[in-house]
Amino acid sequence: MKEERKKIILILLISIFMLSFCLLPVIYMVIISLSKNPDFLSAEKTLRFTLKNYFDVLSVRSLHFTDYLKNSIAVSTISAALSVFIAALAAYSITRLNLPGKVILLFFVLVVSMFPQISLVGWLFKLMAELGWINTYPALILPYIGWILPLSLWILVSYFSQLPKELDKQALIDGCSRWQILFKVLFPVALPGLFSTFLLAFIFAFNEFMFALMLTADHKARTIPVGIALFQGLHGEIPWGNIMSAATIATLPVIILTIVFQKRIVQGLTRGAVKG
Amino acid sequence: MKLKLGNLTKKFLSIRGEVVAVNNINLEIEDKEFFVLLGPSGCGKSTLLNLIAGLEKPTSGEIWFAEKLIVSMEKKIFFTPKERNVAMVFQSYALYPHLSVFENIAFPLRIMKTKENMVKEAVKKVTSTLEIFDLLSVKPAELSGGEKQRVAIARAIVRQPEIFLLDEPLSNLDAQLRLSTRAELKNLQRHLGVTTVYVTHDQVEAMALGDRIAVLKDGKVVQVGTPAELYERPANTFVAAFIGSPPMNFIEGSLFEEKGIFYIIIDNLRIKMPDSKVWNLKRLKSKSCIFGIHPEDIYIRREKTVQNFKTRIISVEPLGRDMILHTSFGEHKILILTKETEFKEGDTVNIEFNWQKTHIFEKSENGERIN
Repeated sequence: MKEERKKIILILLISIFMLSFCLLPVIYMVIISLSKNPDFLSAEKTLRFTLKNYFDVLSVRSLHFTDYLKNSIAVSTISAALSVFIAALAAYSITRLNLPGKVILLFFVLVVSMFPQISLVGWLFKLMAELGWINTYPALILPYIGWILPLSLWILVSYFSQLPKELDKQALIDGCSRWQILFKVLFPVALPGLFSTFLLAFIFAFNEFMFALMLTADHKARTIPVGIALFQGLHGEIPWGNIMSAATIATLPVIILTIVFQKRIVQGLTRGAVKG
Repeated sequence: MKLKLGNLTKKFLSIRGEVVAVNNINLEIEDKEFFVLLGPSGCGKSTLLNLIAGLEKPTSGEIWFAEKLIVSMEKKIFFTPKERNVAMVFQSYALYPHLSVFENIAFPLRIMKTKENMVKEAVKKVTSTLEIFDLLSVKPAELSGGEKQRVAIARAIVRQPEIFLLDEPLSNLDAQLRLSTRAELKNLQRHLGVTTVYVTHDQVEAMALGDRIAVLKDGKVVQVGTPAELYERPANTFVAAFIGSPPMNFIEGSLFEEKGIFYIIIDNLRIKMPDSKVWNLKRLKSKSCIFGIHPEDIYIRREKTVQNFKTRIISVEPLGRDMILHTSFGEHKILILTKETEFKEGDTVNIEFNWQKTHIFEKSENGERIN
């Protein structure tokens, strides 16, 4: 019994440590976003509660925060959806069809994903400028798809290869065409996997900074990470209250998505671990 | 519908080089026949089934459904599974996990764009035949093994296929259920009157179900025949060893003829045949051969005569009604199936072969039958 208790206490302590380690910056962010004088470099001032920062961020037009939020959600959703769709088709053909050299293809994709963003961004800027796409959604969506696709492909290939091949055969026997197999059988069965991949892709795109910084110019296409980083430039002094409240709001979509679809994500990430 | 396979060959390229999974197979399966493909794993029986279903393309050869040429690599004809109207039940059942039992069964009809009321009627009919109408709204994950199997069969027969293909459908069931399902399956096949090809590695299942059985080895058909033919006249040692439980005894020995009288020699034992015409020997290339005899064709004699010889009982397996005796004679191990049950380990018994039912095989790699 004593051993048991020691174990429980140890697990609790470690969990508390891990949680506070991870959540402390977040708590700090939330506290500052709620305080009246958010100059957190001077320690003597006491905390005074206010919601003004949130009202400012959401209502002051010149901050363009709601535009950034809208851009971010639109760009991330479209890029994540497209890359998951393309990756799902690719994963199907790699796991099911008799493609010569599919292993080489997979590794090539992995190699491509290893290019550091910084080495691509200059060329991307030139390309988008020539196309006249700077400061538009496609300027972000296309590079994002290219950037997220390898990850999505690798996740989905491992997911699809765990789905029994007899399902495909059965569907073929039952009279399905290849497309019907995909849309009537494999995609519905793989839904948890597709969904967790979509979510990962969404989070990646939502948090991306470098491409968004270089390829957008103003609130027409600028996304939240860049928008928040540039708050300070607009006003001379650093508006910590606004920055922190904006950051808090920006984390909400991801948190909401994760909480709402928690069950599906866990299902998607652990499925195939045990036979079932 | 009659099914004909002509010179069918399927080769695969693998890391180990070219593998011939199906090697020049010729078979004719009669209309409404329950035909079993029997063989050990890796003999190409599942590949053959996939070729009939249209899941794989043969390297060469032809498949005929009745008078219609379905596949001919030479004439570049290949019907897709959809165009063949075959149904298949897999070992894992392959139910669609995201659909209810009703939708699983209705799936082939929905793909054919059948009208809703026809779908309902067809599903109702098969589910009442198979007694699963109370499961219609359940998802496959909640079904037991036997129920899953019924659903898979229901899905296969709902669209009235011309050929019914079964790939080891019973091997995921527990022993008791397997026995009852086996009988039901046979009844169902008779009732539907659909030409059926059934793949299994279990000879008991094959004997119980098949009108005829084809024994496969290394991609080739070794023997085709009714269960009785395979049991009573196996073409070679492979078939003889595969069919029957407890398995056939094989005893190496030799045979020679002197003035029209045959003698059998096993080690230093020499037995004179009472009647030389017993065997109707085709050819006798070499003197040495392999004698095959089923355990129930060995008699135990009280008295020692010139026809019998002594063996020692190593162990006994009481089966209730019968008893299996494991005996040894020199280097040879001999199984005997007997109804008498008074034997125990260490006893010696006099045994006599039923020479009429002794099979004689060539002592070679293939072990062809010579009598």
